[in-house]
This record gives sequence, C-alpha cells and structure tokens, in this order.
Amino acid sequence: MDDSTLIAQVLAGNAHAHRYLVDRHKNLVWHMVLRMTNLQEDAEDLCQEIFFRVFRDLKNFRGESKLSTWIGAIAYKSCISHLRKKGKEILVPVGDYTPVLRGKASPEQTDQYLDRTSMKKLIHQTIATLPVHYRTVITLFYLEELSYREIEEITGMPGGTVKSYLNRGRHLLREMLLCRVPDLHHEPIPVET
Amino acid sequence: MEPKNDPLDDLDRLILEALKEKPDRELSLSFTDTLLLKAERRLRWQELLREFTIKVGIALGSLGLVALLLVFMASEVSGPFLSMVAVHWQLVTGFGLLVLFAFFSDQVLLRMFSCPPHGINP
Repeated sequence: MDDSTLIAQVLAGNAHAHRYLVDRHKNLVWHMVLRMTNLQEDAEDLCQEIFFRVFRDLKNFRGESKLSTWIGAIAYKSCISHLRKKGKEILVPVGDYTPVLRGKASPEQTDQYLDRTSMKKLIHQTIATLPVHYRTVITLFYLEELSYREIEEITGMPGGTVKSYLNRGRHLLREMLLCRVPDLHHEPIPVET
Repeated sequence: MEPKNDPLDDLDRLILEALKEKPDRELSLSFTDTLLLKAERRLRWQELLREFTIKVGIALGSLGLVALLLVFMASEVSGPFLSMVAVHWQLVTGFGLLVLFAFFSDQVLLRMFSCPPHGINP
C-alpha cells in the first residue's frame, strides 16, 4: 500500500489502516525514542504521544516528503521537546566535543579481556553518552539506513551538518571507547568461542 | 605472509556492527492495540467535547438573542422578569449549572462510556 492510499484510508477512519500505519512505522519511532532520550520506563508512553500527534496532524500532511520521513520528523521534535522539558542539554558545543567519561571499564574488564559481546555492550553504553544530535544522526543513518536527504528532512539540519555530525559522532565514539578501554590500542578483540 | 590483525581496524568493524544492531529492548506486543484503543478514546472525547461546546454556544446565543429582543422590544414584560432574576441570581445560576451538567452528562459522558468503539476517525 503506497503512502497516499494509506493516508486516504486512515483519514476515512479505516481501523485496519491505522493499525497498518502504526505497525509499519513503530520501529522507526521506537528506535528514535530509545536512542534520543535514553528513557527506560516512559519510552512507550512517548511513542504513544508521537502517534497521537501523527493521527491528529495527518490531515495536514501535504505529501511533500515520504510518510516515514514526516513521522520521523514528528518523533524528532517530540523527543527534543521531551528533553527540553526534562532540562537536558541538547546543544552540541561548537568545536571539538571533549569526551566526558562516565566511568572507565572496570579493572576486571581491562585486566582480562573484553569479548565481542561485552565490547558491543560497552559501545551501546557509550553511544548513550554521546550528544543527542550525534546519537540521532548515527541512529538514523546506521540503524534505520536512511539517506542524508531523509535525515535532513527529519531533523531540519542542513546536509553539511548531518555529514559533519555523523563523522564527528563516529570519531568521538571511537575516542571514548579508546579512553575507556586503553588496551584496545594494542590488543586485538577476541572472538568468543 | 599472514595479514596483521590490527586492533583498531577490528574496533572500527565492531563499532559499525554495533551501530547497525537493533536495541535490546523491544516494544511490547500489545503496543499497537493499546495505542489504537487510547487514540480512539482520546479522539472521541475531543469530538464529543467539540460538539457539546458548539451546542451550548448555540443555545446560549439563542437565549441571549431572545433576551435582547425582550429588553428592547417588550420591556414591560422583561422588566419584572429581569428584576426577579437579579433578586434570585443564586437560584437561577444553580439551576443553570444543573441544566448544563445534565446536558453535559447526556451529550458527552453517556455517549463516551456507553457507545461501543467504532474505529478512529481523526
């Protein structure tokens, strides 16, 4: 079902179309909410609020972008608004961002070795400490596999900024990991057996 | 010669893998059902409130118009009536609120909680 047919069906009050719309886009919204807000308890509530806004504003959708991009933009604005309400810092400092280490890997972890699973866990923990715009762009690009153009439409950032955040975010993530696990400079990561 | 296993290249590969991995947490299986139920209730509530506001507005507007006509065109009838209203304003206000509440219950509350769900129509 293409976007325009789906929207027409939803606006006509077809309950199946509503369900289809939610099922088709819930993962995008869920991933954005989880990565942008790092919420544990209320993440589903925020997702629900986002879909309420989608249903409410769907009649104003003009079809200038893909429906997924439009829903992504609503999710992005809602997450930013949620972070502002909670008083969390969302701006990315101009210039190089200095990694703020929220605790290095424990001595046990570094003394022995980190297998790939533990390393991935550590990477996910480190992603959660990146500035929100870096996290967002990285999530949309790698996890949702969206194009630069689509990320621009969702976040409202210029294309150059998207590319810059993506590179800086990746670089920062790497630097933070190397700070947390200094042994990575000279020890290969063992493959678990 | 065997290629050297560079730990930093390995790290890059691992980062790339981790970035493409879905989060461990997943949405609950009942998410869509719960969402649609809540959305329907919310939209229905808003729709009923809007209808109620319009109806009350029309009723009050009509009453106001009749009152104005009486004041300007039949002051001998409306004079004593307005005096009576001014004297018993508490009773009149209470009666008005009671009528409003009964109307609200009939038009919003009963319709909200007694009608079966009939799908979302934003």
